[in-house]
Amino acid sequence: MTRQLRSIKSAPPVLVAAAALAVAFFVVPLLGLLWRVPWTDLPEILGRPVVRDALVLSLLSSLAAAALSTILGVPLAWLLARVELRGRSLIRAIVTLPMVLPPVVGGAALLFAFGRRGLVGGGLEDVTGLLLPFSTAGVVMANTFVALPFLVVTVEGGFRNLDPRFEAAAASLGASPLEVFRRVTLPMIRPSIVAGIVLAWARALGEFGATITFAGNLQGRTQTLPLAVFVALESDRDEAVAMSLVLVVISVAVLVGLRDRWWRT
Amino acid sequence: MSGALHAQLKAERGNFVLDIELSVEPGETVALLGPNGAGKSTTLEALMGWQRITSGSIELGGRVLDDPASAVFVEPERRAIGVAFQDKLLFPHLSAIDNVAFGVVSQGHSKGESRRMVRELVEALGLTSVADRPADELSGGQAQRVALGRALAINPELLLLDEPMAALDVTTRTAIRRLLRERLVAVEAPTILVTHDPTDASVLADRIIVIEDGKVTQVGTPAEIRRRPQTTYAADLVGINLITGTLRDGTISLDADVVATPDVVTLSTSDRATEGRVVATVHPRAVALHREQPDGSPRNAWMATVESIEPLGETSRVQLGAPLPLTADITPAATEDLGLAPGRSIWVAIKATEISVSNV
Repeated sequence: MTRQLRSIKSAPPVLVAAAALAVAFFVVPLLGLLWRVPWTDLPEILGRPVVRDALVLSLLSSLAAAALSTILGVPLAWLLARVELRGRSLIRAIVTLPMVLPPVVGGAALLFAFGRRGLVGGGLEDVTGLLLPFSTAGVVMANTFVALPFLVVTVEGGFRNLDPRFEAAAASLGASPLEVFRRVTLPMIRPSIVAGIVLAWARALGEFGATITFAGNLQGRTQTLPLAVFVALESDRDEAVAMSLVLVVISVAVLVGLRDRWWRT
Repeated sequence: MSGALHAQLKAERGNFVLDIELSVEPGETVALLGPNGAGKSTTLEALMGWQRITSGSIELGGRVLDDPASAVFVEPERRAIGVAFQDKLLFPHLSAIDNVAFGVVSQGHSKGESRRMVRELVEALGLTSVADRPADELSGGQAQRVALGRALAINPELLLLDEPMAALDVTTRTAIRRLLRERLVAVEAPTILVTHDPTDASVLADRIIVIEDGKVTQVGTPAEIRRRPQTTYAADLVGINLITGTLRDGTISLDADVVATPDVVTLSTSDRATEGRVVATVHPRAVALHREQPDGSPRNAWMATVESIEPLGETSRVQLGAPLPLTADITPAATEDLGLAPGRSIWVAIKATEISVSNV
């Protein structure tokens, strides 16, 4: 405690100034946005079909992507954390690649794989009649592509921090491996899973590049909020600002929801 | 229903080699006593199936659990072994009663049904008032009771208690020890108590297996090991004199079965705080022998018969008979000075401050 106090008192002014600059760097754009919000027309703008379509699509597709990420990501995270398998670091590198890859490249890759003339897209259409590009399913797919890594990384950390002796103790009490997973492992890493879901969902909600490249920009079908904001910036500034405000509000709500995890001091 | 445990364990962990044999009869409690790193944990993990043995076999109630030679290995969840872990490993997301009922649920009963089934056990363990409290909000003693209840609730074919009294304060230790003494009588399964505390071993176990450096160095009843310890470790730990009685106002009225002749029936201690049933411990080095009646502070002094003298490393271990059988460690030089020999009589003195007592 005393040590912490002393280090604050003796902080070099240069560092303090740089830190203050960093804070301003985030605060000023937010103020710039808030400054332009057409507060009086806000209810009318948010009621417009193009805005409502984008909002509904964004919420639905991001939630679907978060759900898909959970279903696929939790088992994968478990595998990466608990099973000794060859090429594990390679798998982990591939899984986390979308976190660093420019989303546009991700969208292009999805197109070359699942497009009508893509690697598997044609076959998929022949068998299931499903064409992913330029469909709402394609939006969910693009969202999942960028969101899944966040869930896997967060949940894998949770699995790694769990003392495996708890699971062994449950096994010694007669629980089958699947029962151990359901009754001990999952409940004990719940905080990590919740954090992973929220992070994945937030990432999906803000997705732009992969979505527009793979799914296009069709109102009511593939035009999510970020895409609609981008379009409106050219045509109707007020509309763009109003939709941006919605995204800011949702993001802040997420941060508040996760405060126990990241705002602990 | 219950059968004996017969285990011949060979296991390796890094440079450490475990090679022990142990048999525990149904209803019998065996204390596994040994210093840190002796192989107590490895033994438990092999029995539980957390670690495979490299050779040998584990047989419980006629069923082979592990036998590398014939490629038999029963998974931990099919072994029906109840374990109370040293660090408890209670599930923090479950209440006390749901922890106790965990294994019952695994046996296929519904949650509500399991709770009803363990209700009686929870009450017997004195946990009713905290039954619905999350496991991570329990005190050390309560957590230990839950750990014990969780192990007992599955009606285990083998019960393993790993240092159940460790990391508890004196009062809680005493309470848990008493609880174990009451409960273990009713346990039909073979029971192994891992401990490094000779008092626990002597009070709770029918037999003691001393292991050191991965090997069994001695097997016997607490009394046998106290009389003839085979190693310095055993001598130091198990050689300690344990005397049971009732303490009141600093004076212990000794139990009839600990005295040989009624010439010595009380011992004075410096403990005025403790009362009731106690076990008094006296280190063999604190038992002083004199040629003549000692004068000065010792209030506990009497004439005793020397039964035997055994060399034990740097010291000699003297067994004293009537009126109060005790073990004394003295130097070989003192043995000569005192002219000790079996059958001779000698003055025995114990300072009141050298007698420590704890409730049982």
